[in-house]
Amino acid sequence: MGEVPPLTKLYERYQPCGFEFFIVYIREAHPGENFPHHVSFEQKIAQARKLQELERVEIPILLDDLEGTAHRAYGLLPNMVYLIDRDGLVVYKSDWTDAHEIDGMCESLVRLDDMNARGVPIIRKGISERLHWIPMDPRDRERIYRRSGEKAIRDYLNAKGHLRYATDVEKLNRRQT
Amino acid sequence: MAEQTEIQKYNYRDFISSDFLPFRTHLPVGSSAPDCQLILLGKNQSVRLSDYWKKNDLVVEFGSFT
Repeated sequence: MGEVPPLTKLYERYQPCGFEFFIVYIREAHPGENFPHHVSFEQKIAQARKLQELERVEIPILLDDLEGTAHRAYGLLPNMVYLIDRDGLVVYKSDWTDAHEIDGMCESLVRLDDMNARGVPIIRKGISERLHWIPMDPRDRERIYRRSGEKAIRDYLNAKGHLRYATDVEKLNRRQT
Repeated sequence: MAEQTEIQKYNYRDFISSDFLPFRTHLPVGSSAPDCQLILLGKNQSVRLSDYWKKNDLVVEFGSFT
């Protein structure tokens, strides 16, 4: 969850304005010996508490069931984000959590409330689509995989077409071949 | 037993990207958010997302720690 600190800033800014923030804890994206897949709910709770402490998560955490029911209902991606309005409608969704985008969206919802309060006679509602780009720090990723366990590093190396940077482990392997 | 298989299927052995549902079409903006039952960490109480969206706009991030 590379977005924990930036999302916390948004939580601090927007929660007092009437937004609720949640992190739904789903299956481990890169399980390893230290943080394996959840096989019991007690294990899932214990792992959630441990990581809430380690990552100093301030945003409330909701636990999905072991079968991933909520995760599946919302699309199964490992770090997606949704904004849901007070009518229970999806007003924003992103495949990867992007704090800049969420900031803008919360701002939009505040503006919408303001438009309604001012009695703006016509409000055009529309839909936009966009691409987005999130900078990633390879050292953060390596720290997370190492913390998870050796298996997480091996899995990353097997799937490395997916990420474009090299960790120390990968550079070391390159030199040896 | 059937439930255990569901958990095993969900907990893939290795990180793969092939079982992601088509994200753009699966639950498009403007549609109703699925109302799921979840456990609130700390209070260990069962809640529904609608308990919250009835009163406030929600930002819901899905994630794990690895």
